[in-house]
Amino acid sequence: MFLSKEISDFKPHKTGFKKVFGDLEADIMKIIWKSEEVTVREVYEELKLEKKLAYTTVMTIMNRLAEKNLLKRESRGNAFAYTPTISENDFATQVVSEVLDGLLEDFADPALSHIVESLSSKDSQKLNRLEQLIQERRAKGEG
Amino acid sequence: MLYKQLLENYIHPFIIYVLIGTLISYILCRILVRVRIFRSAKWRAMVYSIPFVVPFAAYFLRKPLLLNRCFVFGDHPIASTSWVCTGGSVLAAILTPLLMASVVYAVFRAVLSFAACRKFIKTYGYADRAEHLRLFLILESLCAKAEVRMPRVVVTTNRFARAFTMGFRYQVIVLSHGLIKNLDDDELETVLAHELGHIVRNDSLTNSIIVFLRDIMFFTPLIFYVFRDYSSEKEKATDDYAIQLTGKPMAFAQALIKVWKMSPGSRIENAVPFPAFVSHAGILDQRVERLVQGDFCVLGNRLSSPLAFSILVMISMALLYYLC
Repeated sequence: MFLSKEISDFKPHKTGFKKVFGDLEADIMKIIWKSEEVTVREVYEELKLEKKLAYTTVMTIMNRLAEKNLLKRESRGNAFAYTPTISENDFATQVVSEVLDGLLEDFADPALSHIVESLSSKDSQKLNRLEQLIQERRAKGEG
Repeated sequence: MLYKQLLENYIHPFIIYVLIGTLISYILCRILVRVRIFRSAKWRAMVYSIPFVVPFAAYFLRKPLLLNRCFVFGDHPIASTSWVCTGGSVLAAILTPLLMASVVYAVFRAVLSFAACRKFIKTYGYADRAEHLRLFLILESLCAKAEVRMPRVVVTTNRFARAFTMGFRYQVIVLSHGLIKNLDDDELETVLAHELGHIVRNDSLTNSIIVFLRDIMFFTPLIFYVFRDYSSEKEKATDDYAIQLTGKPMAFAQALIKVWKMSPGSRIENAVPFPAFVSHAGILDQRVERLVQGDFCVLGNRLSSPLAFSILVMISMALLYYLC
């Protein structure tokens, strides 16, 4: 499966999809998953609001994502339109299964006992619920 | 003979004062906190420091106040409480060697933490403004707003998220590279405001003293519950300071969760006496919840809180002297 190539470098200390992508790759994929079909210009304009970067950098990264089969590139007049080949949820599911399979292959006992421990932890369940609430309120503009 | 005198005249009353003093003052603290007499986290943190201080205050004041009336081998003035003295003498005989070892351990740990602090600075050096411009711009603006002197900053190469303040006279904020990289500007601002709060409150020093006292009072399990409540309220008081300074409770709540998720989960953190940004999940979810529910920055009553605090100390001491 094509994902094993992406997950060759899993970074547990990072957050979200930055665990499996480069920082900019993760930001770009987030925008594309949100918008379904985009051009390099559209992604560049959105990223430019948050960070200083060159148009060509965005184009290079999007081409690289297309080469990895995560994006489909189609010609739209003078520009190319990019669409994701996999939905955000499906990608997350695939990342989880590949990482877990990799761990279970070599470290089945400690991996399983840790999963059981985490599932029974009320603290992390509660914090995950609170985090969702915080993100919704921040999206509405609360400080 | 000398050992016996030490045991009867000094360690025996100390053990009784610690066992009973922490129990009495902790029960009173819990009751007054429960009935919401102390509404601000700042006052609640002060209240939970009482069980650490009362036994020592009572112990050292007993001679100047001519209250050294506990005689194990004589007539006790209050017959009904003579069992306290007898129990204390039995415990003193058992615990004295352990108490001596714990004093040595507490001193060793204090010296070790001081050395670790120096080594930290020697290993990583102070952060360079040009190299960490984003961090320094945020910190400078916060210091100007809070009207405090700009502290020195150490940035470690750790890829996980860590933040704490160390040092006593010249305090230093320690941040990991992983934390700076993974927090957005608002989140980083709130973390820095929180650490600035520890500097303003001088928490490194008070925390070191409280940890030292806790280590000496190891023989009463209650002291670990008192320490948990004290730490929790102290962190909430510093959270309130950060929110007052930045006005960004949601960004701060998100930063707390992010840092917790990116923490290495090491138990080493508990051995360091400096207050860490995120300790364990039990306290963390309370901190996040009060931010989400807007239950922060409650001002304590200017008159009733100090008054209740003084009465609490006096009642604890009086009860303790009545018993022994």
